Amino acid sequence: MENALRKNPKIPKFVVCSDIGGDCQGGDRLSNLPEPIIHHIFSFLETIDVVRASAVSRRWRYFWLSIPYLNFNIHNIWSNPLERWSLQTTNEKFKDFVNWVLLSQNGSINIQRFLLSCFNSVDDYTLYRWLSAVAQRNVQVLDLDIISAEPIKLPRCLVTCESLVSLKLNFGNREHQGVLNLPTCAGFNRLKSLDLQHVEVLDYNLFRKFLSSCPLLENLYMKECFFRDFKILDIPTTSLKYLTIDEFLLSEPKGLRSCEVICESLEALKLHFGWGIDKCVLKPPPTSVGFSRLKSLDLKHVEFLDHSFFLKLISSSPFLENLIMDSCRFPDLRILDISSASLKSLTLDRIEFGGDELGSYKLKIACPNLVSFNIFALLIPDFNFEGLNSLQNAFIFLETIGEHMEDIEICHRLSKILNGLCGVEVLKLSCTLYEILNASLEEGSYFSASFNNLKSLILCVTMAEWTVPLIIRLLNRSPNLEALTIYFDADEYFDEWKISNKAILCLTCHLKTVDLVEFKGHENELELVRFLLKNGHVLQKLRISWLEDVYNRREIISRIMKFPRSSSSVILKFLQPKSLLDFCEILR
Amino acid sequence: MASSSSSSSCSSSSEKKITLKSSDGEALNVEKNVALEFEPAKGFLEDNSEEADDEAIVVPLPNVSAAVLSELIPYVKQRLELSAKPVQKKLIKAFDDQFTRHLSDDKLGELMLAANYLGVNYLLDVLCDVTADRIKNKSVEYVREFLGIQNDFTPEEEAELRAQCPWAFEGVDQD
Repeated sequence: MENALRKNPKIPKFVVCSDIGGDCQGGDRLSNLPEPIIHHIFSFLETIDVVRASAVSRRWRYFWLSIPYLNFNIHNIWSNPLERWSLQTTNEKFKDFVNWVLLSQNGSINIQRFLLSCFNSVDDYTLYRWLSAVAQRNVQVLDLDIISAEPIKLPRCLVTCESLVSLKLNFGNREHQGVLNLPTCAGFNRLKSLDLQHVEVLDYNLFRKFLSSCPLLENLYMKECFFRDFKILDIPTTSLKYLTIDEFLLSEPKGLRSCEVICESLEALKLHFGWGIDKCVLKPPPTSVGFSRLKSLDLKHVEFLDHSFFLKLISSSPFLENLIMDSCRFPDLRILDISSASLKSLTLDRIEFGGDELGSYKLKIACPNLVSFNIFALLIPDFNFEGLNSLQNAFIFLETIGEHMEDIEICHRLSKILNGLCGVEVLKLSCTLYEILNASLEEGSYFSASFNNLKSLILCVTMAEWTVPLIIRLLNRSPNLEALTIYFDADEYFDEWKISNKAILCLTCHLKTVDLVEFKGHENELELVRFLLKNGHVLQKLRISWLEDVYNRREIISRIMKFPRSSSSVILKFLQPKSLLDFCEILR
Repeated sequence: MASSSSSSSCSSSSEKKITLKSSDGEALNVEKNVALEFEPAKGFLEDNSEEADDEAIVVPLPNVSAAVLSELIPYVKQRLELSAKPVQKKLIKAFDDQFTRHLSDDKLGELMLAANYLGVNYLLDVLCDVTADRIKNKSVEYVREFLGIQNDFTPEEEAELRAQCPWAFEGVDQD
């Protein structure tokens, strides 16, 4: 049997000597991988794979008894177990197996990481026993993914365990959260990282006490947790550096309305409040000390009832480098003022203001060290940029053109933006801009600057007729452009493009790389390729990423290969589809 | 024919260069910051820090072939550039995936030994993870053949071993 298997051609071999040439020095040294590497490989495997490996050879026989990483996951321990056994049998087999490993392993070896994913049934103490056992073996990292029919209580010896550094609990999914009975005794003396996902917390006071009793806690991550009957969520710890609240769920929409964060030590704060509830109010802590160490602030669906709190938040964060605000609301505000000397990256995504006139708000941005700026907006906002001398990357994404706005107002606003951004190196523009951009570029008086530093231009375009003149104008105004990326957005426009050959400075001297994404071989796209190959004298690379389901690729390629080229060294590449969604990635 | 210049894929940067000498005697020029990622080279450079001219230093790496080094160097270089920027983890993950996706099993082993010897832990992690993925849920026979390991159990011993822990030998993937 052994011999038959040795010839199995389907099994790739780690140690084959290459047939070509005599380079056979490798020999079987790979079968003698050093023990630390084998342990390292084993640390990524399910424990069942490590136990199975004991039958490979004598040398491997006892590895599993001392491996300090244990991974038990009922969902992938066997392939398709339910085709062979009932759910109950599978469960029993799984329990047997975990018991066997815990029983056999040398108890004096500390467990570095224990991963467990399983079901917990009513009146079954198995889970409780396993957790006690790993606590006694000084577990450092504990990661539990449990679906349980009843509240889960952590054994006292785990809570008081001095070795535990990282604890992750996932008790369900978006639809169902399992209850965690919070420990009543003090503990988690060494805990640095706590990750709670889909966990239901019942008692507000206990939760507060629990958090404030972890003296070394640095990282707190909570995703889709359920806080029943909480009026306010406050996070009172003195050691926390990273705090993430990624949505939470409530028994009724009016339950939890505000969140208070009292941690002077915070370096990164991420609050993403859910869709289902009204926007959550971020409240200033009563003894307002500010975030003297905060570097990154990422807010989603947060409402600022008091604008002065926001101003204070920014001004009292002297090290703030990264600010993201997604769907945040300022009910009493007309002018949003962001002035920070430390800010390097700013992303504003659909900021909501009070009042009914959508287009009437103003944004004032005075950040001398800002490097990246991204804005996603429904309508074109009225910007006021001050001293953005460090700005390198800018991304402007507008959803609509603003039909209620006067043309002259649109042009005025747009020219302010473009004049403010004319020093950037990377510029990304969404397609809704072009119609107005085209109009405004025509009006020389509105927009006069050139993008002299621009190296990379990224556009999302439609097949509308105004697209071509716009691309040409932008190229004409970017004399040093080196890279051009165009995403084709399928839409209702199908105007025919004709691009006349004309010398453009950046095409003659600098443009080296062109990327065309979501390419389907439409005549307009081919016309653009023809134009770029004909006029790109120093072009080195032209890469085309297909749209899914383009069947006549071969035919399109052969047409493209026949286009005359001005650059002798240009290399054409045709790549697998890349999503249009990539276009929405923010610039950093 | 094997010359030192062919392997340096670097641009015209004014970065200081160091010469690494492979097990098969080839000299490869790399930027100093890349060389410092290799533990033995880092140690060597620290010990020879009184040498005024970095260009004159030749660091011997007797356990790594030129072929392996010339795959490692561009990887480390790009990875350094990536981690210098505040990029998302998934970008680094995508970069690692791209690097490992087409590695042959042979190459994987060679790189693993090299990464271990050179102390490039982030690469070792990725390679071990990929190797684990390739033997995950496979039969004993498959793992033996994949790693080129001789079965040195007697049939009785092996049967006994399997009987002790039956859970581990059922429900594996087809070879």
